[in-house]
Amino acid sequence: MIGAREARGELAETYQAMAARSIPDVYRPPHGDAPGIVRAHSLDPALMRVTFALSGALHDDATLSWPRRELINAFTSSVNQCFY
Amino acid sequence: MRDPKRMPLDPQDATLIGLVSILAEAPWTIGRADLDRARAVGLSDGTLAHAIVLTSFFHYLNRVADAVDLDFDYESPLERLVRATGREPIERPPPARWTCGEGLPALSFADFPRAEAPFEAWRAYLTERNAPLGRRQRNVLRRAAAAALCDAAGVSELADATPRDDLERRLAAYAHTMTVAPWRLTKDALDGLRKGGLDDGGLLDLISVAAFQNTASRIRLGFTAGAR
Repeated sequence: MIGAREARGELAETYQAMAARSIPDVYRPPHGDAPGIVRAHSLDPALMRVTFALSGALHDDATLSWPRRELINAFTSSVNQCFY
Repeated sequence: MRDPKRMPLDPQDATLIGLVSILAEAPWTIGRADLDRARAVGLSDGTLAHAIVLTSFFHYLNRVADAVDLDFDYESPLERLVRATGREPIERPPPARWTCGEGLPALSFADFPRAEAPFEAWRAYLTERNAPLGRRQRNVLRRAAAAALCDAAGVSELADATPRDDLERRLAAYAHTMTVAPWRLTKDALDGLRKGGLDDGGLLDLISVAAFQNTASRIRLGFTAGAR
């Protein structure tokens, strides 16, 4: 995985665009790099962009509040036995 | 969240979690009655469509996280998750008992339109390229994941994508394990595929395509629930 600090070219631009998105501070990891699930896509910046464009579209308070989205996501991870 | 099923929830949240649970563990069983129960507690079709797409997409994220053995990003006062790696997935019914959800779907992206174009862009990127994986290899992965979810329509669309050689059999086996028991994904399986000729880009492609189908099949099964 290539982190935002080591990224160059298209990947660096993709990280910059993602970092500029409006997201709650709690989603920004304390290590200062992009979240691991984002870095997991670092070998393919185009995949990173389309994947997290969909992720961003799901942040919509009109139909599901943030706490309700978190509940759904946490429960999904629980059933999948995944820490993420 | 040690035992989420015991959390005190209001009726709408409890109903949503019920749907999420079905879509996670036995999505082929979701039916009209599940949607009727959700509507009866006041959940709109927009909320239901959003919840189906959201939880289905999280199945992608969970599987990618497991496949690449992701490290923790955040400090948490909660105890670390201890996986029951011996947990068996729910038994799948034979194909003859899969239902396509024929007729008009109960829900669609029209009920949650802001996700439609991003989903389509994501789908096209993962399913229509010819590299690193070829189209046929993508279809083999997708068919195996769709079959593991008893997604009759998904399997029908990819009917000719049954594995033909050793690499395709290993791709299908990986997609199957990722789908039914992601907690059993190991680096050994990826190492075996690497020896079969896939580089790191190819491995990311295979992980993301197989994980994508976990999202796509669940969305299809959730949206067509009203026809079952």
